[in-house]
Amino acid sequence: VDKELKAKLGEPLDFTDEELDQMAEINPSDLKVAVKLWENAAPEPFKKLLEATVEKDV
Amino acid sequence: MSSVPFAYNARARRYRNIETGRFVSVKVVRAAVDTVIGVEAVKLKALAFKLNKGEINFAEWQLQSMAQIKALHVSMGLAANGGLKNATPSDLGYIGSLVKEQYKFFRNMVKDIRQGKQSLDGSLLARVGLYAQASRGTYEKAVERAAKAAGALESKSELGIADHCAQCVSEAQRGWVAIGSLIPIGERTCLQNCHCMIVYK
Repeated sequence: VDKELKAKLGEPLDFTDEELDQMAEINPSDLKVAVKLWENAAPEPFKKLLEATVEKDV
Repeated sequence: MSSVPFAYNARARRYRNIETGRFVSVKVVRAAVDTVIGVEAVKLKALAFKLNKGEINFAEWQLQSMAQIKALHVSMGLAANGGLKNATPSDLGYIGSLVKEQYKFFRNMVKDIRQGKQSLDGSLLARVGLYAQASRGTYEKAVERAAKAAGALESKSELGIADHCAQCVSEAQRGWVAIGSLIPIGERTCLQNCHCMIVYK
Protein backbone atom coordinates (compact mmCIF):
# COMPACT_ATOMS: atom_id res chain seq x y z
CA VAL A 1 0.00 0.00 0.00
CA ASP A 2 1.56 3.32 -0.98
CA LYS A 3 2.00 5.95 1.72
CA GLU A 4 -0.71 8.24 0.43
CA LEU A 5 -3.31 5.47 0.30
CA LYS A 6 -2.20 4.11 3.68
CA ALA A 7 -2.74 7.51 5.29
CA LYS A 8 -6.16 7.76 3.66
CA LEU A 9 -7.26 4.31 4.86
CA GLY A 10 -6.27 4.84 8.49
CA GLU A 11 -5.83 1.93 10.87
CA PRO A 12 -8.09 -1.14 10.99
CA LEU A 13 -10.23 -1.55 14.11
CA ASP A 14 -9.13 -4.23 16.56
CA PHE A 15 -11.98 -6.11 18.25
CA THR A 16 -11.68 -8.26 21.37
CA ASP A 17 -13.50 -11.59 21.74
CA GLU A 18 -15.98 -9.90 24.08
CA GLU A 19 -16.69 -7.17 21.55
CA LEU A 20 -17.21 -9.77 18.81
CA ASP A 21 -19.57 -11.64 21.17
CA GLN A 22 -21.68 -8.52 21.58
CA MET A 23 -21.59 -7.64 17.90
CA ALA A 24 -22.67 -11.16 16.91
CA GLU A 25 -25.73 -11.11 19.16
CA ILE A 26 -28.92 -11.01 17.13
CA ASN A 27 -31.42 -8.31 18.04
CA PRO A 28 -34.78 -7.43 16.45
CA SER A 29 -33.24 -4.85 14.11
CA ASP A 30 -30.79 -7.51 12.80
CA LEU A 31 -33.77 -9.70 11.95
CA LYS A 32 -35.45 -6.91 10.00
CA VAL A 33 -32.23 -6.25 8.07
CA ALA A 34 -31.79 -9.96 7.32
CA VAL A 35 -35.35 -10.33 6.05
CA LYS A 36 -34.91 -7.24 3.86
CA LEU A 37 -31.62 -8.57 2.49
CA TRP A 38 -33.34 -11.80 1.51
CA GLU A 39 -36.27 -9.99 -0.05
CA ASN A 40 -33.95 -7.84 -2.16
CA ALA A 41 -31.67 -10.66 -3.29
CA ALA A 42 -33.93 -13.72 -3.59
CA PRO A 43 -35.50 -14.67 -6.92
CA GLU A 44 -39.23 -14.55 -7.54
CA PRO A 45 -41.41 -16.11 -6.24
CA PHE A 46 -39.38 -16.57 -3.03
CA LYS A 47 -38.90 -12.97 -1.93
CA LYS A 48 -41.38 -13.39 0.94
CA LEU A 49 -40.09 -16.81 2.03
CA LEU A 50 -38.67 -15.53 5.33
CA GLU A 51 -42.10 -14.12 6.20
CA ALA A 52 -43.65 -17.60 6.13
CA THR A 53 -46.47 -18.16 8.57
CA VAL A 54 -46.47 -20.97 11.11
CA GLU A 55 -48.34 -23.99 9.75
CA LYS A 56 -50.12 -25.94 12.44
CA ASP A 57 -50.43 -29.69 12.03
CA VAL A 58 -54.04 -30.82 11.90
CA MET B 1 -44.27 -14.18 -11.55
CA SER B 2 -44.70 -12.26 -8.30
CA SER B 3 -43.86 -13.24 -4.74
CA VAL B 4 -46.32 -15.64 -3.18
CA PRO B 5 -47.12 -16.24 0.48
CA PHE B 6 -45.57 -19.23 2.22
CA ALA B 7 -46.18 -21.20 5.37
CA TYR B 8 -43.66 -23.40 7.16
CA ASN B 9 -44.43 -26.79 8.61
CA ALA B 10 -41.94 -27.44 11.40
CA ARG B 11 -42.69 -31.18 11.61
CA ALA B 12 -42.08 -31.71 7.89
CA ARG B 13 -39.35 -29.03 7.93
CA ARG B 14 -40.75 -27.76 4.64
CA TYR B 15 -42.16 -24.54 3.25
CA ARG B 16 -45.58 -24.65 1.68
CA ASN B 17 -46.71 -22.42 -1.16
CA ILE B 18 -50.05 -21.19 0.18
CA GLU B 19 -51.43 -20.47 -3.31
CA THR B 20 -50.87 -23.99 -4.63
CA GLY B 21 -51.03 -25.80 -1.30
CA ARG B 22 -47.90 -27.74 -2.26
CA PHE B 23 -44.68 -28.17 -0.35
CA VAL B 24 -41.67 -26.43 -1.87
CA SER B 25 -38.85 -28.86 -2.57
CA VAL B 26 -35.70 -28.48 -0.49
CA LYS B 27 -33.71 -28.24 -3.72
CA VAL B 28 -35.74 -25.25 -4.86
CA VAL B 29 -35.23 -23.50 -1.51
CA ARG B 30 -31.54 -24.27 -1.70
CA ALA B 31 -31.41 -22.76 -5.22
CA ALA B 32 -32.93 -19.55 -3.82
CA VAL B 33 -30.33 -19.64 -1.05
CA ASP B 34 -27.55 -19.92 -3.64
CA THR B 35 -28.98 -16.97 -5.58
CA VAL B 36 -28.99 -14.78 -2.46
CA ILE B 37 -25.41 -15.79 -1.69
CA GLY B 38 -24.33 -14.90 -5.22
CA VAL B 39 -25.87 -11.43 -5.00
CA GLU B 40 -24.34 -10.72 -1.60
CA ALA B 41 -20.89 -11.98 -2.63
CA VAL B 42 -20.84 -9.30 -5.31
CA LYS B 43 -21.75 -6.64 -2.72
CA LEU B 44 -19.00 -7.75 -0.32
CA LYS B 45 -16.48 -7.67 -3.15
CA ALA B 46 -17.67 -4.19 -4.13
CA LEU B 47 -16.94 -2.98 -0.60
CA ALA B 48 -13.42 -4.43 -0.75
CA PHE B 49 -12.97 -2.77 -4.14
CA LYS B 50 -13.86 0.58 -2.58
CA LEU B 51 -11.24 -0.03 0.12
CA ASN B 52 -8.62 -0.93 -2.48
CA LYS B 53 -9.37 2.34 -4.27
CA GLY B 54 -9.27 4.40 -1.07
CA GLU B 55 -12.94 5.37 -1.41
CA ILE B 56 -13.65 4.17 2.14
CA ASN B 57 -11.25 3.78 5.06
CA PHE B 58 -10.41 0.61 6.96
CA ALA B 59 -12.89 1.21 9.77
CA GLU B 60 -15.75 1.94 7.35
CA TRP B 61 -14.91 -1.15 5.32
CA GLN B 62 -14.69 -3.37 8.39
CA LEU B 63 -17.96 -2.20 9.92
CA GLN B 64 -19.89 -2.26 6.66
CA SER B 65 -18.54 -5.70 5.72
CA MET B 66 -19.26 -7.13 9.16
CA ALA B 67 -22.81 -5.76 9.06
CA GLN B 68 -23.33 -7.35 5.67
CA ILE B 69 -21.84 -10.68 6.77
CA LYS B 70 -24.14 -10.70 9.79
CA ALA B 71 -27.24 -9.87 7.76
CA LEU B 72 -26.44 -12.58 5.21
CA HIS B 73 -25.71 -15.30 7.76
CA VAL B 74 -28.81 -14.39 9.77
CA SER B 75 -30.95 -14.54 6.63
CA MET B 76 -29.49 -17.99 5.88
CA GLY B 77 -30.23 -19.14 9.41
CA LEU B 78 -33.79 -17.86 9.15
CA ALA B 79 -34.26 -19.58 5.79
CA ALA B 80 -33.13 -22.85 7.37
CA ASN B 81 -35.54 -22.47 10.27
CA GLY B 82 -38.75 -21.56 8.47
CA GLY B 83 -38.35 -17.80 8.45
CA LEU B 84 -38.78 -15.07 11.02
CA LYS B 85 -42.03 -16.30 12.57
CA ASN B 86 -40.84 -19.88 12.95
CA ALA B 87 -37.31 -19.33 14.30
CA THR B 88 -37.02 -19.77 18.08
CA PRO B 89 -34.75 -17.85 20.49
CA SER B 90 -32.61 -20.99 20.62
CA ASP B 91 -32.31 -20.97 16.82
CA LEU B 92 -31.27 -17.32 16.92
CA GLY B 93 -28.68 -18.05 19.60
CA TYR B 94 -27.22 -20.77 17.43
CA ILE B 95 -27.15 -18.52 14.37
CA GLY B 96 -25.45 -15.83 16.47
CA SER B 97 -22.73 -18.32 17.41
CA LEU B 98 -22.11 -18.97 13.70
CA VAL B 99 -21.93 -15.21 13.03
CA LYS B 100 -19.32 -14.93 15.75
CA GLU B 101 -17.22 -17.64 14.06
CA GLN B 102 -17.30 -15.59 10.86
CA TYR B 103 -16.37 -12.44 12.73
CA LYS B 104 -13.31 -14.21 14.11
CA PHE B 105 -12.26 -15.32 10.62
CA PHE B 106 -12.80 -11.76 9.43
CA ARG B 107 -10.63 -10.47 12.29
CA ASN B 108 -7.86 -12.85 11.16
CA MET B 109 -8.09 -11.44 7.65
CA VAL B 110 -7.81 -7.90 8.99
CA LYS B 111 -4.77 -9.02 10.98
CA ASP B 112 -3.25 -10.41 7.77
CA ILE B 113 -3.80 -7.02 6.10
CA ARG B 114 -2.21 -5.23 9.04
CA GLN B 115 0.80 -7.57 8.88
CA GLY B 116 1.14 -7.23 5.12
CA LYS B 117 0.23 -10.89 4.51
CA GLN B 118 -2.92 -9.90 2.65
CA SER B 119 -2.51 -7.37 -0.14
CA LEU B 120 -5.11 -4.79 -1.08
CA ASP B 121 -5.63 -6.19 -4.54
CA GLY B 122 -7.80 -8.68 -6.39
CA SER B 123 -6.88 -11.42 -3.90
CA LEU B 124 -8.72 -9.46 -1.18
CA LEU B 125 -11.87 -9.40 -3.32
CA ALA B 126 -11.65 -13.16 -3.77
CA ARG B 127 -11.11 -13.65 -0.05
CA VAL B 128 -14.03 -11.48 1.08
CA GLY B 129 -16.26 -13.31 -1.38
CA LEU B 130 -15.67 -16.45 0.69
CA TYR B 131 -17.50 -14.86 3.64
CA ALA B 132 -20.62 -14.82 1.51
CA GLN B 133 -20.01 -18.37 0.29
CA ALA B 134 -19.51 -19.46 3.92
CA SER B 135 -23.13 -18.56 4.61
CA ARG B 136 -24.04 -21.70 2.64
CA GLY B 137 -22.39 -23.60 5.50
CA THR B 138 -24.46 -21.59 7.99
CA TYR B 139 -27.62 -22.56 6.11
CA GLU B 140 -26.65 -26.25 6.00
CA LYS B 141 -25.62 -26.33 9.67
CA ALA B 142 -28.91 -24.75 10.71
CA VAL B 143 -30.83 -27.21 8.51
CA GLU B 144 -29.03 -30.12 10.17
CA ARG B 145 -29.73 -28.74 13.63
CA ALA B 146 -33.43 -28.39 12.79
CA ALA B 147 -33.51 -31.91 11.32
CA LYS B 148 -31.93 -33.39 14.46
CA ALA B 149 -34.40 -31.50 16.65
CA ALA B 150 -37.27 -32.91 14.58
CA GLY B 151 -35.99 -36.45 15.06
CA ALA B 152 -34.17 -37.13 11.78
CA LEU B 153 -31.68 -39.98 12.12
CA GLU B 154 -30.03 -40.22 8.71
CA SER B 155 -28.50 -37.86 6.17
CA LYS B 156 -27.36 -38.08 2.59
CA SER B 157 -25.06 -35.80 0.61
CA GLU B 158 -26.29 -34.81 -2.85
CA LEU B 159 -24.07 -33.27 -5.50
CA GLY B 160 -24.98 -29.78 -6.64
CA ILE B 161 -24.41 -28.24 -10.06
CA ALA B 162 -20.67 -27.53 -9.92
CA ASP B 163 -17.25 -29.04 -10.48
CA HIS B 164 -16.97 -31.46 -7.59
CA CYS B 165 -14.01 -32.14 -5.37
CA ALA B 166 -13.15 -35.79 -4.73
CA GLN B 167 -14.47 -35.56 -1.16
CA CYS B 168 -17.89 -34.37 -2.32
CA VAL B 169 -18.08 -37.27 -4.79
CA SER B 170 -17.10 -39.84 -2.15
CA GLU B 171 -19.50 -38.34 0.42
CA ALA B 172 -22.35 -38.54 -2.12
CA GLN B 173 -21.47 -42.18 -2.87
CA ARG B 174 -21.98 -43.13 0.79
CA GLY B 175 -25.75 -42.79 0.44
CA TRP B 176 -27.84 -42.63 3.64
CA VAL B 177 -25.67 -42.59 6.77
CA ALA B 178 -26.15 -41.71 10.43
CA ILE B 179 -26.86 -38.02 10.89
CA GLY B 180 -23.74 -36.07 11.79
CA SER B 181 -21.34 -38.52 10.14
CA LEU B 182 -20.99 -36.68 6.81
CA ILE B 183 -18.27 -34.09 6.34
CA PRO B 184 -20.19 -30.79 6.63
CA ILE B 185 -20.71 -28.51 3.64
CA GLY B 186 -17.92 -25.94 3.67
CA GLU B 187 -15.44 -28.26 5.41
CA ARG B 188 -14.60 -30.45 2.42
CA THR B 189 -11.70 -29.96 0.00
CA CYS B 190 -13.71 -27.40 -1.98
CA LEU B 191 -14.35 -25.46 1.26
CA GLN B 192 -16.83 -22.57 0.97
CA ASN B 193 -17.26 -23.15 -2.75
CA CYS B 194 -19.18 -26.38 -2.09
CA HIS B 195 -22.52 -26.53 -3.90
CA CYS B 196 -23.61 -29.89 -2.49
CA MET B 197 -26.58 -30.20 -0.17
CA ILE B 198 -27.45 -32.62 2.60
CA VAL B 199 -30.92 -34.10 2.97
CA TYR B 200 -32.33 -35.77 6.07
CA LYS B 201 -34.85 -38.43 7.06
